[in-house]
Amino acid sequence: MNTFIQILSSLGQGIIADLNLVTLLMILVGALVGMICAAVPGLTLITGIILVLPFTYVMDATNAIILLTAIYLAGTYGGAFPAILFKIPGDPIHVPLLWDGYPMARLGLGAKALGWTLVSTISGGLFAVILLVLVSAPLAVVALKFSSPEYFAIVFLGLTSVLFLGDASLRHSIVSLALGLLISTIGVDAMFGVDRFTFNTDLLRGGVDYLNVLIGVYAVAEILARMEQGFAAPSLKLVSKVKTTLPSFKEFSNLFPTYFRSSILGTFIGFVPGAGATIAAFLGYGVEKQVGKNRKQLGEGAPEGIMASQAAATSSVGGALIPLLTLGIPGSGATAILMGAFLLHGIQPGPGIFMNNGPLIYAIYGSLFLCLALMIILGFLSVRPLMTILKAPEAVTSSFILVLCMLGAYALRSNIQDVWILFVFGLVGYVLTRYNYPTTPLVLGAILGPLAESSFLTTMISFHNDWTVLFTRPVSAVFMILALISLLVAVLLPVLKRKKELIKN
Amino acid sequence: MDKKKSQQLMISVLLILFSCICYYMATKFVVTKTPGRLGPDFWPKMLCILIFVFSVADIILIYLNIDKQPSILEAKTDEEAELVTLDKKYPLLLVGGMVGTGIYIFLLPIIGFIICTTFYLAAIMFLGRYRNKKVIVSSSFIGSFILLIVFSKIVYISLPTGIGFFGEFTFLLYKLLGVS
Repeated sequence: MNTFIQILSSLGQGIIADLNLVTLLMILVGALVGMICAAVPGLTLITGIILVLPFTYVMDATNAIILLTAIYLAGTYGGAFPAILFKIPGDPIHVPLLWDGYPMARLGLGAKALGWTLVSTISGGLFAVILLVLVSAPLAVVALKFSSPEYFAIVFLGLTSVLFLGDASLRHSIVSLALGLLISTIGVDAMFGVDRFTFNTDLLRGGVDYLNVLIGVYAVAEILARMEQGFAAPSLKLVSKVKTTLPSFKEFSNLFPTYFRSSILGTFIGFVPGAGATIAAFLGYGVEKQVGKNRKQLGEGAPEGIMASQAAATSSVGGALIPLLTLGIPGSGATAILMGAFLLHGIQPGPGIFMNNGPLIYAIYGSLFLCLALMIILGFLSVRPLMTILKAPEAVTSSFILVLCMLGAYALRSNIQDVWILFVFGLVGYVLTRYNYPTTPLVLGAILGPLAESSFLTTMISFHNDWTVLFTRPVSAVFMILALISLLVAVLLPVLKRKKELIKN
Repeated sequence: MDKKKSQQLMISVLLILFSCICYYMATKFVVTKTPGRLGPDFWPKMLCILIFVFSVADIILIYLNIDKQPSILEAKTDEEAELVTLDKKYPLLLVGGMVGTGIYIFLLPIIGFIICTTFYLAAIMFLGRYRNKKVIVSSSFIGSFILLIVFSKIVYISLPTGIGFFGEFTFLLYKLLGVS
């Protein structure tokens, strides 16, 4: 009870600390940038965070993290507008909205569809943020007792989950993951001080910053792919009124099972390192299609379809922040950039953050609540202006995005070679995508590689090469078993699918 | 064997070569071996073996024709099918974009940020099949200036100034803009 009161008190202080002009402006700017970047096809919420990151170098840590977190949260919402009104998902997160949001709009209920999306976003976000606030401090206390076997097991779960939850071929996913892990070994090895793959150059001795890999593979590669398509902009044929109408409380209460199911699923998916809002949205919809009361109506404009995907997507944000703050392990690509922002400001995310930077953490939590409140207002006011922005020529926006990405890479160490590294990874990302190698495992490998290797080697050294310790310690055993189950499912599922197809034929 | 499969095979062969080279490089790490302990070469070697094994498996499965890439026919809904439809491709635009970006990065430290970026922005917009010349010229100029001011005066990141005449031009510009 005392802990609960302490948490509430700290949260209150965090919200009060946020109630100043600069921080409120950061939340507003973050929400707008997140919504715009998610709404414009070709940009994603991760691109939005990437583009704003260099501007945060001169800010104080609190405002910098609050700005980036606001982009992350609002970015799970902005792409809904073009998905529902134009059948164009602004972000991959919003593809499931094409299945029920767009059909609802075609039935003349576009305003209601937008209203359901707003309600799902806010309620899903609230669920996860409340859980984040209540769970993270006690979890951080538990995490202080974690040792290298537990850290390796959690990271191993994250690495295997991206194989299980992705939809590309397992072989290609493993190769992509191994490439990412290999990239993270470039530089001077932290444990033994040995030069690895440095070619005797000072720049590579410093290693390859995972931000360069992330920006190159996600943003630059995407623009190259769209350049190959001639920046062919989809035609914007509006199918419904540009307005938001909220459902009644009775209508919302009828969807409580869907809401809770999706929010819990989304929070859990966000918690697993490597799985983010996109996977949460698809899984949320998929589960609703399997077990939802109104599952037969899914695909025909059912509000359950909107609630299931959208609540899961937004609640994954809170879920992803839990491992970042309590363990120092990013739960998604976006939180990996947030981790970069923390480190750039000299703050080490992990169990110690609540002891060393408690006010910062609760200010971030407070800002999440304020951002959700702001999104309610923006949900009503911003639909029409956002749809106007969609008409901006893609060639113009893409050219600026390329320059901003290169500036972001240059700003890391004020070294032009970082820009070359970014360019190389842009080419690598393009080639991988073109030949059906998924890029998410590569990025995740580059991000989690150092922690995976160091925790594994530390475990082997500390326990005299006894790998069974991973299964004899209770916490690491749970995560290892979950990881092995997900690996088994990833191997068996395609085989079962193929057998089913053969029987069907 | 069709073109796509040959390209897929080529990628797998390249990955096999890459993993062999990296494995060889890992054997050359300057390591003081401690008996019974894993060294800094263990992790890279294990990853190289993973890449090698699964790339070989890929080649075998392609030859045996077992591998089936997801196709438009497997799309669950019309919307999904539309999303995976291959649009018309402009490979020359892609090559132009890649070469242009490479040239931009090469010339940045030589010509300086403001001149290089202005031309680069215009080139990418033009390459991207956008033809409104007024917008191209004005947005390239204004955009480069705004980025210069924001990054130099607000974010305090020193951008490439260029060498020789270009360096002097950049410093003159900084003076006019009040950038120290």
